[in-house]
Amino acid sequence: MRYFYQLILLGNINTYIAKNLSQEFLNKLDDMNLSSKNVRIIHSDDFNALYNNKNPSFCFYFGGHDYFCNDIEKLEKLLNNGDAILPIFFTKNNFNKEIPKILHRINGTCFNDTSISKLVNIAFQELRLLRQTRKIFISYKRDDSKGVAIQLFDELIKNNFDPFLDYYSIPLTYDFQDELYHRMSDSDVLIQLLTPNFHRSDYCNEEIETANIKQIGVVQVVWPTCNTEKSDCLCIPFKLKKDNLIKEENSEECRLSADCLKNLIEEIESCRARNLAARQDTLRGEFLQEAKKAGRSIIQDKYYMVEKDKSQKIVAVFLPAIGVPTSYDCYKSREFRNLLETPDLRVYLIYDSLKLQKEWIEHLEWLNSSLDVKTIPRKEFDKWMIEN
Amino acid sequence: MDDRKLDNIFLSASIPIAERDSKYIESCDITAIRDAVIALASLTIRDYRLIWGGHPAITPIISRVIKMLGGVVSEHVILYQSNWFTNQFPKENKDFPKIVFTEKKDTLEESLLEMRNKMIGENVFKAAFFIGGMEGVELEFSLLKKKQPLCRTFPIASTGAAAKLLFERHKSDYDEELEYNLAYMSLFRKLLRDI
Repeated sequence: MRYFYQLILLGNINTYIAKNLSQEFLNKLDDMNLSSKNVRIIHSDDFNALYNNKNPSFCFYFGGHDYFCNDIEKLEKLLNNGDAILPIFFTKNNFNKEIPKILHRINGTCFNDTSISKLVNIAFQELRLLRQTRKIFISYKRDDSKGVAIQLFDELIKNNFDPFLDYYSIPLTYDFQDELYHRMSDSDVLIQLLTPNFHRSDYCNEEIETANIKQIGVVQVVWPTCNTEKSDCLCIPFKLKKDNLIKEENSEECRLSADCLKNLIEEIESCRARNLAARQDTLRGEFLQEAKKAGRSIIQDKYYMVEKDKSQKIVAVFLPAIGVPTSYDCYKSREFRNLLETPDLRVYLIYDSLKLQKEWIEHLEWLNSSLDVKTIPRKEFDKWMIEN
Repeated sequence: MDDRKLDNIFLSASIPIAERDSKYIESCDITAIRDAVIALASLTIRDYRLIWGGHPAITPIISRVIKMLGGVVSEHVILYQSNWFTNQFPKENKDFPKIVFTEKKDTLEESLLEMRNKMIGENVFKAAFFIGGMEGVELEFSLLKKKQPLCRTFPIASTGAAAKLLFERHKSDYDEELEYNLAYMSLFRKLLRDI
């Protein structure tokens, strides 16, 4: 099954602004060498047919000059799934008239205060299509597949990924699992070049198990002389045929054919999209569900979640730690610092302790005591909602 | 089997493979299967006893969850393992203090049936979760319904495969959330609270 990044346009979409935004989004994909085959732009008319809650999504809702309340059911679906929605209105101070009530708790943007390229950047940021958030971990046995590993590394860079090559170099020590955890940090996808010698190694399964617990997708590029086993079945197999490999007999000169490489990149992108959505569901989706059960007014607002009081003032902000928080990009940090200028704003980091090393969890607990930034582990979301 | 006063939760899960019936692989979502197993193990291991039949991809996940949670929770799981697979047991089996080995029969099917009958016959389950899977998951559902009709069953349709087929076959018995809700820990927390 293929997965896609979903850009969703709802509301008053028959305007030049909505059309220009679609086009500029596609232009930016092209500029960044990202294939549009991995992206679906979904409009109101085809939403029911195309929207899949297992794909990462970002929605622009376009208001109207008169009261506009189209697409309420679709918006409800997106909100229930924890998908990010950015309402856009066109006349200053007219937000409540142009945007349906269901979105009134979300901060919107007046189109006059922004530009199409800024909106596109927000979508790219939210769909994590910017290069610094697209880390790929490539694992291989040097003697078997060095040539293909380097070829794949170069091709991933051309496709705007941030690849990391690991040639099987971690010594099998007591801290092996910890070391793997550290090296895989922030990766979206693990690619294993599955040659027979690699498959027989202890590393192979250790990597898969580490990737699984961290919700990192695994794509196994399976050599023609290799077969997958039952322990591999949570991985996506990309089975090579003999004619997919050029100069197979020489591991340094061996390469994948151009068509094969292109198909592999598409498979990797699909795997990344699905796992990105999964990680968002795990933290963001769960947090929002627990908030809803507890009757709290916590909503998705761009890259984080906010809680508002009855006067719509933001009283708390919740930041999901997707990956290791030291990878938190500068853009998010600046917004975060701006929000902190509100003196009584409560700030929380929400995280999944299954994905973090022990030292980082201790660091988060130190933050609890030192910086007035509190942490909430995933397994305690329900308890926190009741006690705070 | 165990004398501790914990409620038993049954996990019936596997991952479809291409060589078997295509009806399972077509709808299968391996990411959802992985995440549902992780969520269920994380949520149930402290306060319940989790029981399942060994699988080379599922057992290592549960082993990792136990390690990450720390503490003495390995006593809260029981792994059933057919001796048909003696030469193929995953290394993670050593992480589980409670393994019930069941008799190897003349054929694979008979050996697996032996294991399933023991697993479902020897334990009283409070609830059962069906995730992904193929014929084996469908069979475990039938066996459980027959032997423990009061046990609450939850086919997690969003994971696809056999779980989805079971959901669709008995749709009127289940909440549609099992089909679309991917925030598994929150979903399972709610389901367990309501049983």
